[in-house]
Amino acid sequence: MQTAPTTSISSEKEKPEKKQQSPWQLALSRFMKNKLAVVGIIILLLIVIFSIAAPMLSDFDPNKPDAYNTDAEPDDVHLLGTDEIGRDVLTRLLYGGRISLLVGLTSSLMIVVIGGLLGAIAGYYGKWIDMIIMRIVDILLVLPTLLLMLFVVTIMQKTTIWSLILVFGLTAWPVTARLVRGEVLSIREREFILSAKSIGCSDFQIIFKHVIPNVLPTIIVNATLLMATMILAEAGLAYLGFGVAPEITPTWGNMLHSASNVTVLTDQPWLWIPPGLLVVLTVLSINFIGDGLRDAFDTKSTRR
Amino acid sequence: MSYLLEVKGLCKHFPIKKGVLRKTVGLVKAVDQVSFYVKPGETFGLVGESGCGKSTTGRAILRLIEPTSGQIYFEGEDIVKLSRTHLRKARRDMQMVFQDPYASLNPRMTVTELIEEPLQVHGLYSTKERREKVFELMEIVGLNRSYHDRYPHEFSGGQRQRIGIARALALQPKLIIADEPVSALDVSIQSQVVNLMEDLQEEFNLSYIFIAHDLSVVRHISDRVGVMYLGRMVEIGTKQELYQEPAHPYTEALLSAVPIPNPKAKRERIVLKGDVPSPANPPTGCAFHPRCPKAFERCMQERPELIHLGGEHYVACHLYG
Repeated sequence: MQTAPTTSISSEKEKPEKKQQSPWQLALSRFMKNKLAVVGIIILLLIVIFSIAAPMLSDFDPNKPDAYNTDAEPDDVHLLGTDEIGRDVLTRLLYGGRISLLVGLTSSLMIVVIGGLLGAIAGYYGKWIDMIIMRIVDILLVLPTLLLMLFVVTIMQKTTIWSLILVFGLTAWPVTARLVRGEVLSIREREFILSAKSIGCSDFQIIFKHVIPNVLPTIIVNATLLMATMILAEAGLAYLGFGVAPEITPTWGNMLHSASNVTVLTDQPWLWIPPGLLVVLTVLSINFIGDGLRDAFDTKSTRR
Repeated sequence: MSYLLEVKGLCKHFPIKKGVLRKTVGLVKAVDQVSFYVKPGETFGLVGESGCGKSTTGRAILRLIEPTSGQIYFEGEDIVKLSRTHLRKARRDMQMVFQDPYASLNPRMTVTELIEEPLQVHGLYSTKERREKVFELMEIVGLNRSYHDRYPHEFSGGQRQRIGIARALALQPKLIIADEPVSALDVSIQSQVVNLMEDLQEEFNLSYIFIAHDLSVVRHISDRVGVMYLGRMVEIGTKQELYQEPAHPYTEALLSAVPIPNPKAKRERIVLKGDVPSPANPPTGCAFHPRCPKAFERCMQERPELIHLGGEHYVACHLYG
């Protein structure tokens, strides 16, 4: 302390001038360096564009049977052939993508909102609130999810897309809640939360301004990976015959259902290989994106 | 003389819980019967080893940690009795500067957002006026205006601590509790921050509670100093009284450990034997007696109270009783 300079004003070394980067921008630039994740984004974008543009890409009605053209092999008119009642497979694939993506996106959003909110509340307030929420989570986690879904779907009798989304949302949130709770528990102990309290922030302000922005990376990564899981779950349920009815709307899952027939499996590969391939491709690219996001948000990872 | 802050018999006991049923099996007396006062415009230094309860005392005054018992009078009003809404208002007059400038700033907020936050939370000024205020505060603490949209990770430790100080200053408090504000910084930066705090004190007539373990920094900035050991206040005095005529054997030992910047000066170094006992199981009588070179019979049996030695000098030691 003896050599204290008289002027205290900014004699620290100035940093070289560079563009301001928020933590989000930094994460984005890290993400763009991950080739696999970028490829994943491109593939997923293509699938999304094709599904949305379905009516423009195909003149066929995905649900209209054509008695003269059943079980047709792929040719110039029907690029991927037709199914047992003469519907164009390619058209059904395009429209089916809409459902798969919609189910994946909305149900993962719903899971993240329910799980994230309950997890944040449990983690922040602790004590008996935490106790109650976490015991519900424990109970839901010991029930096998697929059986639970089958059970609910059976009760609801006629499955529509929205009832399916609801079922997914209500059964799959516990894992997310647990994840978010853990993250909030660690953030709650950070000094900047104490600093916010000392300034006079209310609990509400602390949760929304300080806790949630800092758990958001974890939530986003979780949501991405959940989307892949939900697309698979939809396909799985539909394959078992519990998904959305094929007469109402085509989905990749209920198209795969046709492969439960041995003749189809051996003689008509155009009926089940394309939807199977698309499910695999979509899930794979979403998972790559998720991995990329996780690395991008993790400031501790040295991998560039 | 009226005090700005008066702490009376402050206690903070943390329960030790064990087993499945989380039964309380003991108490850690982090802060035990601590009393002191702070006058307007003065700096009260609080020193002691790590774990002696100085940070807990600081946080309990702001009720960031709920005190177990005791009274905290701020301008005559007992902080401990305030309801949550009143407490939020009372916190406007008492702010805190934290030890670790890396951990105490939200990494996802810009400098402007960070400094503006206290004003926003208390609904002061319009948006435009707040922006002006932020620039003003940045200048006061010596931060370049052009840095206003940067994030904490782009700054050095010293600059971050300036952001922390600007945040604490925003509400124009009367008392700032600085919890080891410079111990995470390089020595060269420490002096800048300490000098900044002194300048601000003069300009805004602030009072500080300056918590530190570095005795030379405390000597530089403080008017009066309190020494804590194992959750208890063992000696309080003005800087001169305490540094020139330390009364408590513990203070003597502490001061003998401060390096003298003169290689020719010789001094007897008092080396304490043993370790700091666990606050969960403090020694009987005077907490310092197992390590005290001057301990006698009475020290093991009776807990010493603070004794007035004249001036503003108080000591809790049986040698003077």
